[in-house]
Amino acid sequence: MINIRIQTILIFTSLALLSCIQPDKDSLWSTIIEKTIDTNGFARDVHMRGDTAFIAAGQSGLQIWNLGSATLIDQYESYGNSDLEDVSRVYFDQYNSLIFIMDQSKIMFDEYDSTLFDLPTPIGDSHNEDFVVFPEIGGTFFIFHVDRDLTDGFLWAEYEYADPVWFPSSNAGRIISWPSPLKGLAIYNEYIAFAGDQLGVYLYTYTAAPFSLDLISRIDTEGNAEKVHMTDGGVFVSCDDAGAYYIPIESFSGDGPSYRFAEDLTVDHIAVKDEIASLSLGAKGIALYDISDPTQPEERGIFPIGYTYRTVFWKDRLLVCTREGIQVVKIER
Amino acid sequence: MHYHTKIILFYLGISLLEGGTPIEYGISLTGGYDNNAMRFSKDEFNEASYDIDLMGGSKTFDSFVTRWGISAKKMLVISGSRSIKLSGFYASSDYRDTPEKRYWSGGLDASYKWGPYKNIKYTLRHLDRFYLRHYVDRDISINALASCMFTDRNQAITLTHRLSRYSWLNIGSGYLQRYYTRPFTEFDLDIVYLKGKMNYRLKDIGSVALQIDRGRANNISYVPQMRPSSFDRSYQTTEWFLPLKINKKLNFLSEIGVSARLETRKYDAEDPNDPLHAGRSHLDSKYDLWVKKKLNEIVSITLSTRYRTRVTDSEYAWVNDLKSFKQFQFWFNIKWDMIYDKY
Repeated sequence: MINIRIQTILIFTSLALLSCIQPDKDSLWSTIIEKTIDTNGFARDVHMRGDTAFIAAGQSGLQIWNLGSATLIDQYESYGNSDLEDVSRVYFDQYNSLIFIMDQSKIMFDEYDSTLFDLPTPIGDSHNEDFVVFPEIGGTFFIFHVDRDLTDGFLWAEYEYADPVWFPSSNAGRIISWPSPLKGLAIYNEYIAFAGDQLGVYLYTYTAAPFSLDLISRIDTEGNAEKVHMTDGGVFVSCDDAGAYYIPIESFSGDGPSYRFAEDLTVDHIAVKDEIASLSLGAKGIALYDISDPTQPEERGIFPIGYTYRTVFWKDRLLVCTREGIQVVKIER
Repeated sequence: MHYHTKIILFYLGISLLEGGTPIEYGISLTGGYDNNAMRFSKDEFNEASYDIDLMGGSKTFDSFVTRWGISAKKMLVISGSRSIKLSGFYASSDYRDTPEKRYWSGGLDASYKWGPYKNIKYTLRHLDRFYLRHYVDRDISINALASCMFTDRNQAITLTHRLSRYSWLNIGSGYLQRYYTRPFTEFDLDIVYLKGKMNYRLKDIGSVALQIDRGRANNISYVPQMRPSSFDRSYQTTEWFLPLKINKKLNFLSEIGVSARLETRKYDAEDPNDPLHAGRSHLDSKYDLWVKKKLNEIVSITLSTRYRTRVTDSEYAWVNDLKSFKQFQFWFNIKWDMIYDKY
């Protein structure tokens, strides 16, 4: 008979348990797609107001959904007697109850009521790239937009309401002296940043009344600067074929550094919230970065959610605008 | 802990053991050559010729290797035929032409013996940060390469029992932890296996054995959430090992040996989004040949060679081409066996 003492087995078992190793901790995050809103057309942009989602749905026009119940409230594929052409941006002005959209032909806005887009007010021409609206209580708003035509450049206008129409005030104008097309803009406090395509990023300060710009400086980037996002401390820049940058505001005033990350990715857009940066990568989906220290962004994973145009943070979820519609994504850190 | 400290502590520990028996020490030096240090497939050789980054810090596909090691054994006699045997080794390897491939390995054995060919043995093996090659980790990058390394911690318990005058049996079970360094942690595996080995003594010739290991590798870092690497790399493995040693009635040499080790692996993955693993299996074959000559009571030299080939079977021809490779290795080892008896 085999004679093995229990003590011997216990000793060996203890040795085995004590000798195990621990794996390296994974620093990546996970994503869970909780819901997909099927928009038929490509979802290009979304603006949230409570649970109501205003979706720029490409060839399917503008769609308004209740995101909580995933029900379609309204859909608009035309304005007046014309079809909308690939709606790519949307914004809802809650103070004046106005909806702004940008399609291939123009930016336009109209009151959000039963006559929406019967007779919208057009802004700009067919080469708009980006816009920002600053609404104010009391029937006014500012709109800033950029145009890739070198003869248009950066345009701004203040609109006022005089029953029954909105009209631009005298506080409007354009700056056309741009050596490269403008692709995106972001406004934060007294700063305006522009994505200047091949020439990188411009940072200005501005005054509102009358509107004027004062250039701080331009910083060149690898690849073409496509979109910008501003935070307290600096500017995030998405670059075609060259990743992304975080450039502290003080770097525009002196010779401070720029911090490049996601270098091997083509980044179309960046959204930022609560130390998370969400990078839209087109066919590759999204990439998430931990920007607790924005000068040292740490990669947290690339997620192939579908062809992604843009992302928007909503409550504690990320809304991902994809060709398959809006994906409601939970990020597990 | 620095490896020099580990060595000192190891020898100090062995030296402090009582028991009235001597301590056997060994020191070995090995020089070798590996013709495919990064295990490139034929397609990867072509790819690396125009994308040198695939090779990490290497300038050549092959590499010369130096390795040195120490070992120690100590037997503690309890009574009559009962004894406890402790042994350990430490080795440091350096692939001269593959800068990332510098690693150490070590092991400890503890066995309790209660008669001839009757013992139970606990085996611990460690392989530290073994470099495979540079890969792209799809979780964090589209094309940036990173050095891929893993650490093995293998533990096994083996029971040996005599079956007849010329045969004995080893049966046992093991637990191998194979954990990758960042960023490749999604490949982490826990492998549990059973093994059985039949040994025959061939009168006036030597010995022959047949070993079968069967194991299950569990991809412990697999998470079903959305990630590019959200693929289960678990697999089943079966390994056959057939060694033949001739060490009797040899005129000049002390030992001649040949062995064949054949591992079949079948991945669980059936996800069409994971063509690299879906329905994939492979046969990894290692054929070894060695000759050993004892120059005197202390010094021995061993010449050995290994031919390794891995043939992959997948529904996708490109996967077959990508994951199949061939490798030749040649080794020259010189070893000094010494005895220290403080009594």
